[in-house]
Amino acid sequence: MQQVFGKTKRQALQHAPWRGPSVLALMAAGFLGHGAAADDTYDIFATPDRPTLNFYGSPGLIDMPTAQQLPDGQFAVGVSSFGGITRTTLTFQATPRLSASFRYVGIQDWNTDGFETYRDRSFDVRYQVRKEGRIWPSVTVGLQDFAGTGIYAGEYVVATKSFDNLGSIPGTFKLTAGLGWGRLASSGSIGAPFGGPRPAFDAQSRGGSPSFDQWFRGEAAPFAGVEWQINNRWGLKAEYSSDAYEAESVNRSVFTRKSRFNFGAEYQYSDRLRFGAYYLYGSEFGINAQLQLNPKHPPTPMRITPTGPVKQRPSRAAGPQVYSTAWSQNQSAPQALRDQLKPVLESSGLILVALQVSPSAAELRMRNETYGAMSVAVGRAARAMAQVLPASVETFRIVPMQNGLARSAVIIRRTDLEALEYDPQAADALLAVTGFGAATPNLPGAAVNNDLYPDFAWSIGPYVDPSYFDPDDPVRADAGIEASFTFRPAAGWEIGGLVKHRLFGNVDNSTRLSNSRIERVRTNGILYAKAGDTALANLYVSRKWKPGNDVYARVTAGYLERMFGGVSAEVLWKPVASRLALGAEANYVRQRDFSGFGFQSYGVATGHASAYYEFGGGYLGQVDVGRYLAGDIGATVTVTREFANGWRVGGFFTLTDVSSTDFGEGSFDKGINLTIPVSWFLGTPTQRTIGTTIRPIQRDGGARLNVPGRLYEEVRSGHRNAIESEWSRVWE
Amino acid sequence: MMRALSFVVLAAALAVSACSSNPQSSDPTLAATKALLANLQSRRASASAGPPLVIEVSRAQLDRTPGAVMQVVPDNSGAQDFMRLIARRDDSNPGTVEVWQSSDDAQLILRNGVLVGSKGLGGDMRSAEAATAFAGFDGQGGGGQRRITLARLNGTAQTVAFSCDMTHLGRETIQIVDRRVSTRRMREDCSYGDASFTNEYWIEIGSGRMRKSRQWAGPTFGYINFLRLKN
Repeated sequence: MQQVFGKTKRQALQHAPWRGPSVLALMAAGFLGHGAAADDTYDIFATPDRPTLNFYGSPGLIDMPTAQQLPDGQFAVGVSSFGGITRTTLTFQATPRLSASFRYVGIQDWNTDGFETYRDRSFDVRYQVRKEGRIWPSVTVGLQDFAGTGIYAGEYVVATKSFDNLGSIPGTFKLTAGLGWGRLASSGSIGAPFGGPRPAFDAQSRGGSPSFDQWFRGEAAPFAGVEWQINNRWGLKAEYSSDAYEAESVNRSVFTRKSRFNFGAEYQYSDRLRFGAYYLYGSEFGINAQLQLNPKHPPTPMRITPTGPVKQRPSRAAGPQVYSTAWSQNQSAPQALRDQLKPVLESSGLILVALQVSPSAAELRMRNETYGAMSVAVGRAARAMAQVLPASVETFRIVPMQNGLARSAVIIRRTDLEALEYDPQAADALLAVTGFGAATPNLPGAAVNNDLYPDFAWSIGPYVDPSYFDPDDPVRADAGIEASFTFRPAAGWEIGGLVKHRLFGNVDNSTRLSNSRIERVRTNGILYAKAGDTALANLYVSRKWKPGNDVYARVTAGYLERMFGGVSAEVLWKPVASRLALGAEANYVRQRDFSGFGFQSYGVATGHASAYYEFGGGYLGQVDVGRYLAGDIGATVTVTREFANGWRVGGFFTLTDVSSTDFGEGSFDKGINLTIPVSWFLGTPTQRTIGTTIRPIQRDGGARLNVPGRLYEEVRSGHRNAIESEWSRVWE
Repeated sequence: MMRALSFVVLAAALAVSACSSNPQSSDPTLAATKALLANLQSRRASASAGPPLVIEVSRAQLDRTPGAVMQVVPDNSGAQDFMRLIARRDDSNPGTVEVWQSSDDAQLILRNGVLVGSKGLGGDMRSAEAATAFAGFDGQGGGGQRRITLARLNGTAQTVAFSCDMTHLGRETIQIVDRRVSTRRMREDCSYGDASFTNEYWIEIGSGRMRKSRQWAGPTFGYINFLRLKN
């Protein structure tokens, strides 16, 4: 889909102390420290306890948290409403102990600060300090709204212990007790254990930076509760809340709070969906819908129609004449073998690019446009080679290609392929004897597939571009028809374009124009939307090639994205088996006219040096240092968790020399990336993905150019770690 | 307003099927939405369908069918299918491998009749050891470890070391079409932590061939009932 541009919420905010980022760096470090340990090695028979959610969309009781964690990798979406307060929360269990939440809240009848309905975004993090034991409870420390505007700011330490079949009562009891600070200490406080006073909440003073000076400071108050999961379907909850709802019910009359006690009943509708109804604070009825899903558990299991068993050669003793190499004397043998291999590969969903044969070895360069798992493509290519090539060819080199780039060489001995297909440990045994090496930029003397170029591809279809978090209308969207084409005149060359025509939508209805104090490189999105219904999103020519075995290069020129056009050059160093990759990108771009054709006066030289690292267990890190679109200088840190089946969830933040005052609301750029492979829904192989970037707010500082076809992901997906991640499917 | 608009968009998007020179390049969001709807629809359809049709095979039909025939009935659907033998080979492990193909092109791999792998079922058993099961077929029973590699649904796999016990249940005569076959009936109980499964085997006396079995294919697919009708 689309980059999502958040909208300005209110007029320019005051300056907030600018030290937030370092805590994010710390979090990233902790995240990775555990990341390396948390592999995808969960037990297939384990049925992890799935905690229920509270009104904040975190594991919890009703309005209070518990110490439980979601199963590793779980996504939870919670939508809750009571007393005119609606919270929508996305929680991701990033490691077995660390979870993060992003929340959007709407509070009706706020009637101050210039809002009738107050809307805000907030981030939480939770870390489980200890897991539940036989005697000891689990303990979790949480920071709620640690980097937002602070209305929900609160911290807690909470312990939860579960008991099965207490006495003769059926079901499971979970007892929770905790201590809260900040908002969670506004009712029934017992003093300030870590000192105080806590700096006052001021809705106008913060945006985006972590508020260290507040954490665990000031008054603390206890909270407690119990959850009784009666059976698989029904559960009851009761709690004592330490939240006085001062901002809502004391300072304003959002609702009337009469009691500290909340009660509720919940019903598990399906494996993924749970609903609850509650009576809160002695005055309000509330509802809560909870959706939990896990990338590891697709709705439809992946099914691929298998190929036939590996064709066996007779043993050398039984048929020595079969192993004759006389065929290689024939000048046209490579072309003949290419012509035989091509349809076999096609029936396996693969495209032959080039084939080089010698009496004892062959190198196949192929394109995989079908399978998300490269191991499936490699396994099928090897079986196709075994079916077609003469018996004397013993060594297979399989090179996955993309956009003219030869990414790696997977080396498989034909004897192993024949011997191991039905081995008790078929996949592991084959991996143990498979080699991974660098692929040369070109393959001289190969029989190439002459049908590949020139290639023209096009598509026409509907599109939907959502735009979130406008305070007047939190979800806006444009929809219409888009048409795209790519023309590839020769290997590595690409001419591409995308035109969108809006049929309906309301993104351009927004009245909140940019108030940015720096160059408006991103915040003029509404002006682009207003400029017309038809937009040329991009139109470019690019060339990709390999200057060396481990070095990749790209040059792109044209209208690179909706807002900028110019030239872009990139070079990437990434050895096949290396966890580390280094890259550099240099661009000169000018801001495009709102109408789409021609340029405005603003031009900038922007570029980055990048380091990429695969930590293992699916955790990826990336640091980009350089100059951003508004001419600001700084760095972006991105941490991503990638699941074996292609789900990716990442978080990023950018710090530049733009002060938080000049940056505006949010203080610095940050956001979440989410990519879901379509095959996860389909159950049939496809490489398509759905991806989106959500920023709490889009400002002009720390903005990067969106160049189509950056090298790293393209190269990495054909390298050793990516091929090995789903190796168990190599025989499919 | 927004909600109404979203529905209009969704409906329009589903109605206007995208067209393209390459079906792989149509809009991914649409493809995913369609898949989810199709999934829901098929669940509803399978819930309302009656009991699956079962065909009584006659000797004459079998004689007309070339090659070996295996009847399979998976527990999860109850639907009957007949599989063809597409390959038979010996490798360095004990027993002879037979690759059977179902009418929807899935493959089940049997080693001397013991299920040691599957392809195209949507995961589950990828590969397995059978040697300890063979050792238990001698009529005395016995047991040992059987390592089975099971697909997780996320694209990775886990090799699970089940500990298995083979019990001899005595002789039993089974009916295969028009013939009565006297067999030795065996039961194999395997467990790993809280997970367990029980396979049953009917082995023809004299030839030692597996004629009938009920075997576990993994936690998602469940049990499959095999009956070897011919050859």
